[in-house]
Amino acid sequence: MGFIAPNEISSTNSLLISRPYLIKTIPDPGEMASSTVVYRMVGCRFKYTPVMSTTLDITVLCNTQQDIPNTGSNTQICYGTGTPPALNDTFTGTQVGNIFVNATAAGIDTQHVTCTAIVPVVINTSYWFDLSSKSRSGGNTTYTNIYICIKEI
Amino acid sequence: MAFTAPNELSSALNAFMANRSSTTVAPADPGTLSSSTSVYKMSGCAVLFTPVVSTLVSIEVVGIMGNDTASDNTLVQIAYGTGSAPAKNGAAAGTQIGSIVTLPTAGTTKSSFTCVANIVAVPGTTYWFDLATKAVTGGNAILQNLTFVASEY
Repeated sequence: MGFIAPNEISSTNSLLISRPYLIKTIPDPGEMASSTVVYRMVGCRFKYTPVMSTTLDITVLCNTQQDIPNTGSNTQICYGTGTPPALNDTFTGTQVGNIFVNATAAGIDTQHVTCTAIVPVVINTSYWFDLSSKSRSGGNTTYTNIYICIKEI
Repeated sequence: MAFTAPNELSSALNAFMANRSSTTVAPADPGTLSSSTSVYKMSGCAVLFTPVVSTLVSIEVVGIMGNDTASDNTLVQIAYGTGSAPAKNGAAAGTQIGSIVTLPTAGTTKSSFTCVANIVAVPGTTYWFDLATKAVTGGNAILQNLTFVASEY
């Protein structure tokens, strides 16, 4: 954030209203080649550079499906710097926030996923955000209709 | 807009933080809507919120969605506006914003869901919030157990 001279401070709101927010649709990454109980990356390849705040509020919404009923999956947000991971890459970055558990039962193998986290960041540093995923007891996971919602708070 | 002197900035920031408002509302269940295929209609939730100090407002809606017909899907998105809130089954009104949620699997199996959005608001202005819903392919959308959370940040 640039220097603000005292005579430029007209109100606190003028400082705070310009905090960015973004909601972005992610192209469907495709079916994962999941390994049971081993986290892999979904490959959202979403990047964001905070410009005003050192705290980000991030929410990821999507649908998840297992190719084998009753296997289930775990999903969690992760983030890092540098080159964003691709679909099926080994786990990388830092996992944060809730672990969404798709504990499938009775043949229902799809769920709407909500993952959310508060992430400490450095201003003007580019971060990638992704989902990490693992199968709970076999099968492969597919994520569709992914939205990443991010705001500087 | 009042001038804030440099030595007043700390207290002004504290006042901003302390005066931010929020509301959590669980409206009456819309239940089964009279959907028209591929046409958004309103759900009649009529959740009202008036921001006090901030121009940034976040909205989260959680609930259960479905369709009353096998193999048909449902789309749901947050909508907002000013003035009179739309009634259930009313024509699309206001501004639709944020994530668009679909059923993980088209058909009559209901699913929990989350919709999120951020808006730029005018403090002191009352906004209504609702869900815009449409059926995909056919059938009638179902919404129940909704909770709206609107908060200044």
